[in-house]
Amino acid sequence: MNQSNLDIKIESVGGMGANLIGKILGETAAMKLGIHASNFSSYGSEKTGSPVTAHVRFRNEHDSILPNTPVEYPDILVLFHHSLLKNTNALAGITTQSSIVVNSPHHASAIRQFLRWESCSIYSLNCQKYITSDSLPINMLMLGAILKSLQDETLLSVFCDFVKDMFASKNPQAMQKNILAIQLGYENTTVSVKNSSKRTVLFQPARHVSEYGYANTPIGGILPSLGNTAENNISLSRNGFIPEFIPEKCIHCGLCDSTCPDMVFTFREGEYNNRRAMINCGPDYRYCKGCLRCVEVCPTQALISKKEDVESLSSSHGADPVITSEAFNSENVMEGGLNE
Amino acid sequence: MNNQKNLYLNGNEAAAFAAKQINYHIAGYFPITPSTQVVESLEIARSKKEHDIVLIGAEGEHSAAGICYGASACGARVINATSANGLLYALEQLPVQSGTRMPMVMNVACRAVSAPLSIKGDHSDIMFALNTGWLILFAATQQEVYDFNICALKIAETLSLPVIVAYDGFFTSHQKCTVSVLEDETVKTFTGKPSYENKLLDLSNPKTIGAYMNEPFLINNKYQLRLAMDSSIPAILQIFEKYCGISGRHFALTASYHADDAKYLMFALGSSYNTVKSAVNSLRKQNIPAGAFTIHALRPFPAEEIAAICKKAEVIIILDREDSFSATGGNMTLEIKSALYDSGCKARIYSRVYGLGGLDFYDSDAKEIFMQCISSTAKSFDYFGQYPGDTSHILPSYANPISEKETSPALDSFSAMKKRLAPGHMACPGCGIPVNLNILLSAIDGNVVLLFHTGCGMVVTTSYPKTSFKVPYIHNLFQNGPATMTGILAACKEMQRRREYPEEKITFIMVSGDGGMDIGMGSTIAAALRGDGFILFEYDNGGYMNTGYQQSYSTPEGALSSTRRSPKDAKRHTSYKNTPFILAAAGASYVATVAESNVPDFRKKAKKAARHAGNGNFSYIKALSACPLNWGDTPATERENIAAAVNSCYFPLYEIENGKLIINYNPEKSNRKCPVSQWFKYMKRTKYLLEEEYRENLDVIQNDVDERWRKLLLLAEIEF
Repeated sequence: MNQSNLDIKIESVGGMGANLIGKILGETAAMKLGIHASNFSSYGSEKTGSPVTAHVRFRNEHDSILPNTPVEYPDILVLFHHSLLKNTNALAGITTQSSIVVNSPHHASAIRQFLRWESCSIYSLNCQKYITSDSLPINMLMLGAILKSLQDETLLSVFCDFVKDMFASKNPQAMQKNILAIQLGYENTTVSVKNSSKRTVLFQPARHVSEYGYANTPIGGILPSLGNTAENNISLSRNGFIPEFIPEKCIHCGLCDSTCPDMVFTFREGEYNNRRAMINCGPDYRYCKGCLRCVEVCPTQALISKKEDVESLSSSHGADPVITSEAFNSENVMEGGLNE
Repeated sequence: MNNQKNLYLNGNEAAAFAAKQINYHIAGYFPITPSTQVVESLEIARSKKEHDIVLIGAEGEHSAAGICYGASACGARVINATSANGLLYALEQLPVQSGTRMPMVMNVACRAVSAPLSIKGDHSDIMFALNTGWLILFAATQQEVYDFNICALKIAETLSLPVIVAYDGFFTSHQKCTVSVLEDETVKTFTGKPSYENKLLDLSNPKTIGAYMNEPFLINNKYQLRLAMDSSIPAILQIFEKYCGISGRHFALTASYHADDAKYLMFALGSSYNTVKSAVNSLRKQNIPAGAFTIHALRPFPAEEIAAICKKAEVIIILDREDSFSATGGNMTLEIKSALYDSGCKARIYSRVYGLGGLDFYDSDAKEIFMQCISSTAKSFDYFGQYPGDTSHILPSYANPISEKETSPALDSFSAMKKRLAPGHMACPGCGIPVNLNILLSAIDGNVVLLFHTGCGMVVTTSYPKTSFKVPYIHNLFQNGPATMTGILAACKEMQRRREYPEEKITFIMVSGDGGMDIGMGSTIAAALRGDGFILFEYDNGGYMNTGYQQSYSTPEGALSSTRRSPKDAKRHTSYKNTPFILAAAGASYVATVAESNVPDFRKKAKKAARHAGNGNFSYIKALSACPLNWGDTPATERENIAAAVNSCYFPLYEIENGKLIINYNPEKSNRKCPVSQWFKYMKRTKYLLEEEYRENLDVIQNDVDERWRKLLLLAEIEF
């Protein structure tokens, strides 16, 4: 590798396999390239759809790796979802000498225009294309893109060999697909490199400090709040699909409501077929994780699986929320209940 | 020096690798983050036939410690791994182990002690072990975890004392790096053979172990323990030296960095020692004479060695990743200060509590503390990293308290009921837990008070400072939910009797996973025997899912898990855990099984259970709850999956009301009965059983399911 002292930060979502990529990067460097390496992921209860950050450090052989703290100033920042380009926490610590590797439908130079950064290198790969057409794993595609950003052609075969060995013992059937993904990722990554001789931090990293500290939170960790997880936008958990609601077909049976783990559906009292009934007002996509349980149970195809549009860079994240429900929108804080 | 090879391991894997090479006889364990991986790694190695250790998953840490004790009393080599409340739950057993002088090795991946529940790393757990009479080695790196695990067994057997190998949860337990390991044969030669003499199974010389001992004898027994501890330092150093001979790695009970000429010395335990070293490097570049030191053993405590390191220092800063609340610092401060007092040290000593609950400790933090304490105006004791917050903020609510009227809707429909949970929780896509909770609560009118055991349901709904609950909610650790509920009920009733609390009608509901029904079974049975008036709702997803799916006592026979990797693992069979029958036998007035695939039946039973609870009787409902992540199936089809479990009669729907069993849904009558393979085919964890190779295993499971169904039909016919 051209440079051995390297800090890599990978921003992703649980279930996409970013942790495995961190492990492959670290282990290959340590075992095959003789570089000192370490890797770890943000820790927590492992749930699909929660944000995950993986950290990898490479050091010259004579240095030992002392820090065990998260990477603050990544030389390579990997974003598994291009909406993260709009997330300042994800971009924290980026410098004019960093590389950003991103899963995005946009060309690297378009991303540069969006970010408006003169310096720093950008590598972009449209993973969705290969996930949809060849059902290739996103993490291996991204590994290919990361290898591209390391600017050393010899690495591709070293890593492919490592992954081959890894799958040979665990799951030989999956090996071909994974290798293909790495290669396609490597070959199809678009590049926009603007080298800078001066290292300037573009986004200062900030330690996570909440507005809630020891002076303003109740003793004993007690929460006086009611239902404030409603603040969360969990649409990032989705995997490319959402249920589309076709109200004309709905018979208001409520089966979707009974199978939805995320309380996405909203009902109000009304009339259906001249009888009092709970009327389905449709899904609130902010809370929808795209599990499609509702699509499976709907007896009238009033709910169908729909591919979520790949967002444009300028729009806000996720599908437009259809606020129909118990008014969890900010205007109605403390009001609760249905808001007409 | 012997041949070694480099592996890329984290601390847990390093501990497991050493254990595998030692080839312990027995591992008694109960999964708890972040130490679970030790046993999981051993399970992977076992499926590859790399060792013969018998791995026994107990129903709780207390029992895991019991398994270890029994095995060690026979002279078997025994290993365990735990963390945080697991260590505390087992704590009672620790002095038993040391007081009867039975050697064993336990890895502790250190983690914050609940409450509030945190799974992250600090040292609040390990300090509880200081007075147990165990030797406690502390590894700062993954390499040391490996090395100390090899030495620990030797130390334990030499001194007839149990040994803990502690290391930082997550920082050391989960970060991967290069670790040099010895060859298996070298380890085997080093550890030698165990001795069975002087143990329980020595039939030609029978002994009584664990006699009852009052004064004047006890003090002499404890003095023996003190003598053993005192003699342990030379013994450990000797073993370390011998180990250096085979590994080339030299250890002492302390380690220091630039300490010889340091004016300013900082102490840190565990992985932070490296962080402090990094800070020392950068201070030295600024010509500030800083240094660092740590200890590799909490017990025996290396007081003289510490005094020697600190001899020339002007300022000594002691970092504590725990607090001995209201003492002059955390436990390390107390111990080191007392050692330095004895040595006549005149340095200024500062104490800082840092990094609680896994709060990251950067080298810039260590530098900042150095600079603070070098200035003579610094406080002698303080926390580092706490902050007051912005007092103009108060935690917002997104709902009003739900009124009794709102939860007693005119329309009896699922969707008419106001939900007690708000959306925005962090359950995996397709998770069955919120689905089951919503169905249960949709049928229960009026006020409810909820108690949750630790588990996925609790973790995904109440991540501070947020909660999904719109009704009163309390959590307790999962040995103890039913007892806690008993206290709540009794207090409510007594305060009402004294007219201190209004005559509210409340349905009390306790929610637990199947894990909580393992470790908390004792408490549950007692609540049923007392007939306490609440609903115990179990969401059974057949495994310890919150810690990454280890086998529970409700995991279906044959299902693979992270503690049962190999399909051919017939030895791991446990009997079907019939919790409804256990609780019916304990006198529960209402017991029912429910499934989300049959919502009307589910809601009917929830109403009945609430009625029984309202009349002051214990009632229990068990739902089979889908876990897409660990079952390895499609989130969209979970309802179909659950229906297949019901139709196969693996999970039949029935109720036992006042002793009378009624089958509420008979799939035979509706021509929906299917073989259990129809359910198994949905899930990655069981799908392999459909392959020809495992036909016999599947037949055994099918027979068991058929037999249970046949008995259920017979019981339903009995008239009283």
